[in-house]
Amino acid sequence: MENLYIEATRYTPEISADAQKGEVKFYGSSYPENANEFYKPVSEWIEKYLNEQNTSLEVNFYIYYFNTSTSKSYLNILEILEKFSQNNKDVHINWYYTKDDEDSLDSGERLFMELDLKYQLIAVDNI
Amino acid sequence: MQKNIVELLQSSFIADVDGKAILAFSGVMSQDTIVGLGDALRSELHHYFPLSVVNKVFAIYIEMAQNVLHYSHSKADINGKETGVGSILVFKMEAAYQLVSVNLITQAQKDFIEKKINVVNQFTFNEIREFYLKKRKESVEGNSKGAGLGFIDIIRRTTEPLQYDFEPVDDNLYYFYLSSRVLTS
Repeated sequence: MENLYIEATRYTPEISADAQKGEVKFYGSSYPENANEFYKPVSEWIEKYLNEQNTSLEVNFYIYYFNTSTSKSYLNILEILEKFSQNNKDVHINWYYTKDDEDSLDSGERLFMELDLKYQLIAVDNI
Repeated sequence: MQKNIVELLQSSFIADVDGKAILAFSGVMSQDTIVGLGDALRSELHHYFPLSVVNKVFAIYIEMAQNVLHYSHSKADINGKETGVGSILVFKMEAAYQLVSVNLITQAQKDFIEKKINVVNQFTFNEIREFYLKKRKESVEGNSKGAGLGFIDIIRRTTEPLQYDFEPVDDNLYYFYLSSRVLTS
C-alpha cells in the first residue's frame, strides 16, 4: 500500500501516513475553510489501511490549534478508528497538547469524549 | 454591502468599546485574507503574551472570521466561489483583548442566531460540554462546511457570555455585531 504525504501550509498540518511503520502523523495547526474536503484523503487512507491485512496503527496528533470545522473531521477519523478498534485491530492514539495551555488540553479531552478508544493525552513543552 | 472601518468605529455598539483598535478589516473575508490578518495578529500578541493567551485570542479570531466567510449574507464571487463580506476588529484594553465581527444577515438568520446565543450564553462549563457533544454528533451527520460549533467554542475559551447586537438595515436585513473578550491577566 502506498504512503500518503501532505505538505504543511499556513493553515493545514503536515500529514504523513506510513504503511510500513503503521503510523499516521499530523503536525501543525488546522483551520482550513473546508476541513471535510481537506481530510478526506486521510480518512480514506486509514480506512483502506485497516481494511487490508494490517493489524495495528499508531496515530500521533501534534496539533497546537484546530478550528471547529476541523474538530468535525477529527471526530470522523476517530470514529473510523473506533470502529476498527472494536473489530480487534490494535489502534493507539497519542494526542500531544501544549503544557501550560488549558485550552489545548481541553480541546484534546473534548475530542475523545464518549469514544471507545485507546488513547493518551501527552503534555509537551511546545509543539 | 458592508460598513467601512470609520463607519464601524462610529457605530453605537463599537463606540462603547473601551480600548485601542489594533486591527481592523472590512471587506471580502477570504481564507487568504483570514490567514494573513491572523498571522499579523499572532505576531503582535507574541510581543506581549505567552502562547496560551496568543492561541486563545487567535482561536476566537478564526471562529469569528470564518463565521463571516461562511454565513455573511453579503457575498463576493472570488474565482467562482461565494465568499462572505464583513468586518473584524480587535481592541487592546487594560487587561483584555476584545474582538468584534460585523456582517450582514437576513431576518431568518437573526432569529436563528439570537435564539442560539441566548441558549449558549446561559451554560455552565459542564453544560457547554454536553451541548458540544450533542451538536458535534448532529454536525458529523450534517453537511455544513462549518461545524455549527463556533459560538460555543468561543464561550468555552473565554467563559464569558457573548455580546451581540442587530442593527436594522431594511425590512429583511441587519448588521450582526458579535463581540467577545479575552482577559490577559
